[in-house]
Amino acid sequence: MWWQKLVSNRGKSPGEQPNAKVTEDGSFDFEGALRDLRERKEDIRPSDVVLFPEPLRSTLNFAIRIGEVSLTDFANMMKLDISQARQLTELLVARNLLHVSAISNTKETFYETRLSAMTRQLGRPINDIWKKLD
Amino acid sequence: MSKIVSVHSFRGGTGKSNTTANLAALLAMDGGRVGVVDTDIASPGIHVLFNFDESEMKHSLNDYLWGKCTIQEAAHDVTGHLGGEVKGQIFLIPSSIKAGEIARILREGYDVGLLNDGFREVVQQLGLDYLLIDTHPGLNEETLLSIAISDALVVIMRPDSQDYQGTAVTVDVARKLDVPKMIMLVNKVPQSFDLEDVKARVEQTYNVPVAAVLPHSDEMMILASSGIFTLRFPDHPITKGLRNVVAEISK
Repeated sequence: MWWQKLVSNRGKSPGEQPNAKVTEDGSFDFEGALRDLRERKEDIRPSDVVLFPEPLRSTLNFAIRIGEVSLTDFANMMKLDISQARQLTELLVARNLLHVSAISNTKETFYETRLSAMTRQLGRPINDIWKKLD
Repeated sequence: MSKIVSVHSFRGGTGKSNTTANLAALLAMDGGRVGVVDTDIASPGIHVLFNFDESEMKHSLNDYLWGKCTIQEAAHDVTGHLGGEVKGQIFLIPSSIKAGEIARILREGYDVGLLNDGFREVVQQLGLDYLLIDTHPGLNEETLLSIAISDALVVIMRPDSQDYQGTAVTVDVARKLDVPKMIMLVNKVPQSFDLEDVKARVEQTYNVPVAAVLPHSDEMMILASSGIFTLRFPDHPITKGLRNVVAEISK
């Protein structure tokens, strides 16, 4: 279970955690995060956000709670330049966590956030008990 | 500004639904417009506390998730069911209690993102001051989503070894989700326990403020979910404890 991994990592510094994307000096591993998001095939789920490295986790937590975030705010919170921030947000759009808002203009890109996940894996064999209940 | 509040416990039987219904009643008594969503789709029950009969359930949360209705259409005004003087209003979004519909949602699953959309929409459309989310026990994607978008999380536990361990998981996850406010409630505490001592121990263990330590109550057992406790027993220690939780939520 994902949460068992979380609890087993309790008290460890970010660098000690197996999923952490931090460099040796403890800063955010931007290239590593890009690579992980590119390799990812599934949409981002609530349980993924819990395991994201800092400051990506807290930035996304903030955006999810508010429901929206601008590219400039995202870049500021991530301590990235606009170009780097855009690379990340484009991957987050591709993984359906962010959607480009209609209020975006030439000066600023705004994103709406939407966590998504199916509560049940599709394609799992149907158990007979549910047929009986139906 | 409206607030979304999740009520959660790692284990079942802690009194989540009862607490949620009573918090909703207290908030509404103070004049609030309160929405209550039963996201415990696998084992719904909070509608019973509001004396809300299945025959009145025109639409449920299940219907919304299947695209059969809007979230507002699934919201039922249950204020008149409370049997007490309430200045505000309570809207209940119940989950279906039909076996086939529960089975369908478990079998087919649903996109938890629809919950997110629905929560925000119903807050706006009904002009709610508070949206209380009665969650499914344990941790799953929909519970994480509820916690992630909440302004406050009420964590309920009993003085029980299994609850102690599970609550640590909930608290860890809530911290990872940066919930702005976390409040603990210790429920069903044996009368022989020193309530202040329990409060101090729990606060020390989790480093989270405990808003109330509620003693086990025969009156609550006898009421047996057939009504809202705080309306029936306005001067009971449990009611006073729940008022403390409301005060924390409202801050």
